[in-house]
Amino acid sequence: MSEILTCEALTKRYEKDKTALDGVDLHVSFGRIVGLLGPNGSGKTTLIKLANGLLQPTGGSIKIAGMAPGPDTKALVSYLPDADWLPDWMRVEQLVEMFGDFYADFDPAKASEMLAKLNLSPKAKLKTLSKGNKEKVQLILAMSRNARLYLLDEPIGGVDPAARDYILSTILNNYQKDATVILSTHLIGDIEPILDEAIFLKDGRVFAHRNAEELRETEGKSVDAYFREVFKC
Amino acid sequence: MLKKLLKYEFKATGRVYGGLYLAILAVAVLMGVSFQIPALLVHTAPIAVLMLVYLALGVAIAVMTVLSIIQRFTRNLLGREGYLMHTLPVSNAQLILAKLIPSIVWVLCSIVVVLLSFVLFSLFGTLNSAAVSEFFHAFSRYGSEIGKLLSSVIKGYGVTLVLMVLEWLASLTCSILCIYTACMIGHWCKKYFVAVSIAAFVVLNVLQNQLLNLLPYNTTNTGLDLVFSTSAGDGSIVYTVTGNKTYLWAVLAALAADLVLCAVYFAATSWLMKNKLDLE
Repeated sequence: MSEILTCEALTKRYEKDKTALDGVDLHVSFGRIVGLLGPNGSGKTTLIKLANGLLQPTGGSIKIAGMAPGPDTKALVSYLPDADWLPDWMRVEQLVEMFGDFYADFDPAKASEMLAKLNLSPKAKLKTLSKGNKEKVQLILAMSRNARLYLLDEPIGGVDPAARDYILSTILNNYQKDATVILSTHLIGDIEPILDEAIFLKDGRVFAHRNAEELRETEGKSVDAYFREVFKC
Repeated sequence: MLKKLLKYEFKATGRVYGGLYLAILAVAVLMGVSFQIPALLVHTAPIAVLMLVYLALGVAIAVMTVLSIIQRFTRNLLGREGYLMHTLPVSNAQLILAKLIPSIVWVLCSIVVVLLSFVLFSLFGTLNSAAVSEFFHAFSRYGSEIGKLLSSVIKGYGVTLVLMVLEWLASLTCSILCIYTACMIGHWCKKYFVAVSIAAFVVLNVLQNQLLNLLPYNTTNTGLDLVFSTSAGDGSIVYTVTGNKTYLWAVLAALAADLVLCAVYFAATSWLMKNKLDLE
């Protein structure tokens, strides 16, 4: 199995008239950092949720390492949603313990080290943290796993520019080289330096799936500039 | 994994229940003690306030127990926290059981705590040295007779009693699973989640009752028969307890029906979770 993520004719309709994904075909290999790029409503979050089994496809199929989403794939995937998703009555240290309990690949020492570096107290209750610090805790938990696939939905959207660099270096330094990281974001300029591939979604379809280096050479412009050209309003 | 899920579910729910339980037990003791203070029997305002608080706590526990069954399922599995729960490497069956088992335990605990609060209130309200000596006097005089009566009941009716308790537990489980199925149906038509969930719960209950009415046994007559007679030898009282066989079969039939319904609701909830889960 050389592909970590495979979508074939993947379709998701929320209501009869609202198609979020329309016949998406995607093949993503192990060991890549992939940008999932597209304007609002292009289907990025829907695709990530389908990969996590949080949504069910209307048509087609989605597979993680050759398996349909289920308990086996969830052991391989580390997911960071774009919303608050953790029980906010819990303390940070309780969340670390919880992740350690459920995920065999979770590294509590790595989580503690990252928390200390960002001056986040393990004793703090999640609900007492600011929005940015909450997002940092969530990212630390997701990146402290030695997963095969990281699905990060807008991981830098809510934090200040200074913290973005740290978060991006956290992502870069905390995944095994044979694992794949898929990041969805609008802030293409910030993630461009780390991208191996870029998937452009437009109106629920794959507009382009390009190697980042090849795109820059062929188009003679950055991924960010290409995005702005393609999705010009 | 189920054990770990249960650990976190009890942690999450215990915070609320623990406080309410302690509060009602403390108020029951205070109420009992205040009945022993003669001045308060004249100026009854403090006792009235305590009674109101006690009643409010009783209602709060009842409402909390029912609401918590619904909320823990909808918020934790179908709301924002569902992003976490459904990305844990556990099966849907484990997720459902991790909600069901604590719900049953909390219903039982709530009943026990309310009963215990009655006992504490009665104890602290009536306890004095005369009452204690009267109690032990009565116990030494009638204790052996009570023991004989109880052993006769257990001998003649014990199996039925055990089955009745099991049937009640199965029926409780069935009701909770019916709520889960109704919530999953509501989630399927999420635009009208509340209305569809309530309608589904009502329809499922009507269907369930129609099916249970088809059972060949009537469960209203317990068939418990207690006969007192005097022994020909030493003149002591003899207790003969018999249970009606028809009732025994009726309880068995109801238990079997409950278990089948539990299996149907569990399978339906699990199927809907696997095939129709759409977290916003």
